[in-house]
Amino acid sequence: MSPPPKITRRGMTLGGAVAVGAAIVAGGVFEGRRLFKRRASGRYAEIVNQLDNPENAARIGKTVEMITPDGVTMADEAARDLKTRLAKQPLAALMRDDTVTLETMAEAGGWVIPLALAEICVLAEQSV
Amino acid sequence: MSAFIDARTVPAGTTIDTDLAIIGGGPAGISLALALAPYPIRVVLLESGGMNFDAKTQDLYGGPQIGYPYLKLEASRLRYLGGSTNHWGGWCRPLSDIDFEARDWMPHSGWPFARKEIEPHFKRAQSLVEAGPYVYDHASKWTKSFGPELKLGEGGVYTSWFQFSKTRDSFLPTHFGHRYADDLKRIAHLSTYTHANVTGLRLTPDAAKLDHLDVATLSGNKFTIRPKFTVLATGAMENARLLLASNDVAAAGVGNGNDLVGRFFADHAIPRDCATMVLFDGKLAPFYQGNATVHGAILRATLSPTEKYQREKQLVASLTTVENEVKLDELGQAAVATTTSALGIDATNAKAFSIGCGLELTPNPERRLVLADERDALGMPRLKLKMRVADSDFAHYRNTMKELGRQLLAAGAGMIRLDRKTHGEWLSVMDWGNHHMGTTRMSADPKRGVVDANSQVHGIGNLFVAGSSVFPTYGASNPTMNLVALTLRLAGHLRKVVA
Repeated sequence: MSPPPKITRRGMTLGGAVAVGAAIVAGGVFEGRRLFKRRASGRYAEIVNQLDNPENAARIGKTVEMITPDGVTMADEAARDLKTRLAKQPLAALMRDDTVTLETMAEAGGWVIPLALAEICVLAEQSV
Repeated sequence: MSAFIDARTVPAGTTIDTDLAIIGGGPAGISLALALAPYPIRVVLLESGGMNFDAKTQDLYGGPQIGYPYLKLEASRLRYLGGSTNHWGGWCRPLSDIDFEARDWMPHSGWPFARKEIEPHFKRAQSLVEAGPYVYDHASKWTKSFGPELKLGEGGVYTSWFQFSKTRDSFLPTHFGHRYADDLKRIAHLSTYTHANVTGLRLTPDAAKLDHLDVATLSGNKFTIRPKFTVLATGAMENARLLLASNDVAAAGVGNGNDLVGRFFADHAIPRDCATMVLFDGKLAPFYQGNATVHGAILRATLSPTEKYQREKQLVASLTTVENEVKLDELGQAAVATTTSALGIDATNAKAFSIGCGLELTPNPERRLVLADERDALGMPRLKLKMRVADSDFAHYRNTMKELGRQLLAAGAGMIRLDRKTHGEWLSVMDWGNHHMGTTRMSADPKRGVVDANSQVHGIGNLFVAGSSVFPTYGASNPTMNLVALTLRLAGHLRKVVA
């Protein structure tokens, strides 16, 4: 039976360096994905970036059937309304509120979604 | 046990007297004959076909059509003993209270009586269609071991239940001809004629009563039945045809003084793949996609608007079925990911399913059957169907589905995509239930209906109509079990008037 390998200071230093390196690489990949995921910019960014993936939201936003066809004006109104609502409650609660009645539901490419989400998606389309 | 009589062997020119003639050996005619068996009433049952499919007999059903695309007239029904139960799917569910109500948002709606009038007959009807114990919307108590019902937020759509007819020791629905042939043969005062086509309902000169029936066979034989009472039970298409074509005394046809016979033709529209449902946890109890058998009942869950919701939103009835698992496109994946992430719900195991539907059509007098110029092998004018469907009926269904989508999201359980919107999109996935209804509709008012509340043709004291042709409105329930229940009610009435 051979004796157990000795743990040397040199070995420990090397092992630590490898672990730190792996963590940096992993973190980089994660952060890189996050960084490469396009974030919203412009005047609606604060609202739109509450969503995990604004790019997906923008894709949905293109298909939203809005109540009025008056693009920018409606978007501004929606943004104002959303800001007020989001100041009072988190996004998830706001969306749940919308699911209480059909009047606060919207359609996006046929998908039935909360109106607040539809509005954010429209804002995303103009921001991503 | 007496054998059936082949009408081709009856001596030509014979006149047969009887208390009651039943024209048509489908579910209505057979149920009526069975229900009258205990009573001393001489009954003649006349069936056009034999015991099995025959192409020449089936061809008597053919006819042209115009308007909205529909099934071929000779393909959507069957002309031999058992009638269209020879190809039915076995779906059963009693009509709802609202289906009988006059609704101000639905023109021409309403029966002359409430559901409670036929309620006492549902259980016997259930027995005749062999659908097991009468469970329906109490089924969830029985199906817990299969899994939970869909989690839905409070709202207008709920899990409703259908049951299925079965032939004993098999999963096939009950084919009335084969199933009840021996029972019919055992009835001493019943004479069943096969291959016997009624080609004319002949009225007395004052048009107040039916005098006799002309019967013909495809082999060229002809004879006469002279009944005290007659029940027309040949299905919603042929009932209209026989009444319209029997125009020797009343020029517009029998019972057609108010131009109602053949109007209001209806079926259940069954568009396929009309929506997509995503369940975030991917879990769906098997009784939504298929059947669950519990204590002898074959059950399937569907999704229906509640009566309250139908009234509030002024909707037609519908049923929604969950069909096959499907893959989502890129937008669908984005919609699910974005929605669930915003709601803080895990959708790692999400699954998507296609959605089917059965839809009530709003009654329409212009959706109608008329006589065509061309004639069949017996010399009878063929039928011509003028089919129409209102886009608003699909809009009604879309609203119901949208409500279902809302309820799924409210419960954090799933979401819905509405896949059809335009006329063309609905048309592209359209199928039909083969549920012919409405052409001799029931109303207490002769100006609004062909038959009265007892199914008697207005103005003709000894002529009755059985089957779904008398349904003025029809909900989203399949008609067979309901028409059997209504026929049993008619049997109770006939038992008194014929005796």
